[in-house]
Amino acid sequence: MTGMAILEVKDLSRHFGGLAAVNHVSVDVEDGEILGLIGPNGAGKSTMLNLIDGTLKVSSGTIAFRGHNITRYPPHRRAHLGIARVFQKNALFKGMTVLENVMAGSYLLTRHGPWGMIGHTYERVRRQPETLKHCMDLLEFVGLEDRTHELCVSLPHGSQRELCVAVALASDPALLLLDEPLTGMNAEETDSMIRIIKEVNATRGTTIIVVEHNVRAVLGLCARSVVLNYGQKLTEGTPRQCVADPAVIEAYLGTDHDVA
Amino acid sequence: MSKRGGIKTAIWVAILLIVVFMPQILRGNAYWITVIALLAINVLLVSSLRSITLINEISLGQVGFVVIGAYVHATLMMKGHVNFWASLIISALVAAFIALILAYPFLKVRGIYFSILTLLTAETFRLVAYYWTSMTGGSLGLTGVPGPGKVHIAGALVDFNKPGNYYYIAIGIVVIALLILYYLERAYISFPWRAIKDDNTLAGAVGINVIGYKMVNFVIAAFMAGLSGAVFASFQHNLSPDSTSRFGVTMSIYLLVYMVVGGKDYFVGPLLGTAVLTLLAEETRFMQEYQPMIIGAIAILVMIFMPMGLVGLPRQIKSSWRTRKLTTLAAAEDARRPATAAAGEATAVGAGAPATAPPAAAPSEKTGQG
Repeated sequence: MTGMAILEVKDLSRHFGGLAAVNHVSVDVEDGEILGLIGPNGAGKSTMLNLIDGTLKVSSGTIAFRGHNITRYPPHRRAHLGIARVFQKNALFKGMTVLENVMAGSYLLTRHGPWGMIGHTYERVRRQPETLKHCMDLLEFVGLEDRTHELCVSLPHGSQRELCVAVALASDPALLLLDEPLTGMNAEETDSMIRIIKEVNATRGTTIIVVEHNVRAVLGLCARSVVLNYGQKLTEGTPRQCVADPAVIEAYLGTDHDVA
Repeated sequence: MSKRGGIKTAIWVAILLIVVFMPQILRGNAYWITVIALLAINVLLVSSLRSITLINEISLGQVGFVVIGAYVHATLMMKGHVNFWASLIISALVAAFIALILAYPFLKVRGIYFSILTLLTAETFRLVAYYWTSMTGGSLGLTGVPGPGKVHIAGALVDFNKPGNYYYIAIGIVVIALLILYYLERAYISFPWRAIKDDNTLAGAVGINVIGYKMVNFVIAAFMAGLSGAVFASFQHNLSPDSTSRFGVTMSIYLLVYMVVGGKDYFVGPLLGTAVLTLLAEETRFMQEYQPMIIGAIAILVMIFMPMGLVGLPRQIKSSWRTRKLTTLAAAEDARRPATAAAGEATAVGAGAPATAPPAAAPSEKTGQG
């Protein structure tokens, strides 16, 4: 399977008024890889993820996922096809417990037809052994198995972030979009999150696109990265090549003339 | 747990018995029977409003679907001579169908925009009823809306057009409708609703068809509002689309107040809020001109001092009492450690605060979970 493009982004643009947040970007993501999306602030990295998961509408260009043209699909249909997303802020279902959050994440696996949605009580679905096992396995995977019945908002930031990943993984996605998973974490939490991301990719074969500012983490995680600047693709290659590229250094730090 | 469940069931059975035997208790006092029947109809309406809060939206337009339900029911019965029960269902379905048409554009917007759209729609429906004179009688109103008429029950001829007898039909329909709403809140469909309530975007990202589930919720609520309108039309026998009638904007605001005063997080909130405020309004009828002021003051006081409403009051008292107890315990704990406390006070006044804060904060977290 490796080597085939799971996601093909062609000539993608998104305008906010006169501003081109993403400007004619083309990227192919191969099945099973971890792709790093890097660039200075305001480069259009998060917009790119929003376009891929459907939170934002595309201005022009196409997105194809596993052969489906998903350019005009709403977010939930993209989720059906196997795209999951971890948002930059800790987006969780705030009124729910840790376990319920993961259960909501596995909605696609537990949903019923219209009559089933009404015919079954929530209590019954919640107690189904296979659903429970699926959720507990995920919580064990991210290390939250002994906090299942706490309200998710009572968790510390790092654990909330891990829960976000568990919620996204609950639908067994083929493509996981991570928006700055390491922001605001201490060294220990960072290591734990990197281990989780690597393990997801290795054991489940999930393709991952990660937007991250922590360059060292990107170097450790990704085999390939794409650099964006002012909404345009600057370069792509291995993270080391990218970081050494004069154009990338210029984008991050400016030129001598700027300083002078 | 089971003991508390038993007490709850007993309370419900008692309430139901009182409601069922109300005409006997009141010895056929037509005035109070009318008040209580209207109260029940309003409970259904407020419950339909609360049902929309399950997707974190506030509709100010439930009255609009009441207008549709009431006038469709009246027209079907007066001009089409349709059977009462069929007409009841059809008019509720018409309200639901109109909601279905409106649902997509309405639910694409959120929060205050949704509220404004629903408010204006309700007003539009009322004005249509006001100006479509040939159909609705216009400002003169529509009089003579029939009830189910005379029915043979166990050999006796019962005239259900009389308020005392129609009371049972109204109560019966409201109870069944409330049971349906209650069940829906426990059905699996309520789980995606909860997810949408907590986070729209994330709900979409995990594969929930956000707009679809919202539409289902909105349509069900409109059905219930339409049903309450139809029940009302046959009870009151005459309908007026005047702005001071129960089809006006003021009614929408009152419904909201009923819900908030009762407690919008609880299913029985609308019941309690509507009952308390309606009975209060009846008792203060002698100072009618001040009533909006009184209701407004109650709404403000409840929102400030009882954010969880009347139903949430026991829980609120319990939790504040527990917090206070734990804070006193923490203070006592500090007093028992004179060395550190004295040192803290000696060095800086501010140092005393962090010393007491952690023990007080930790237990309050626990109470939140319990």
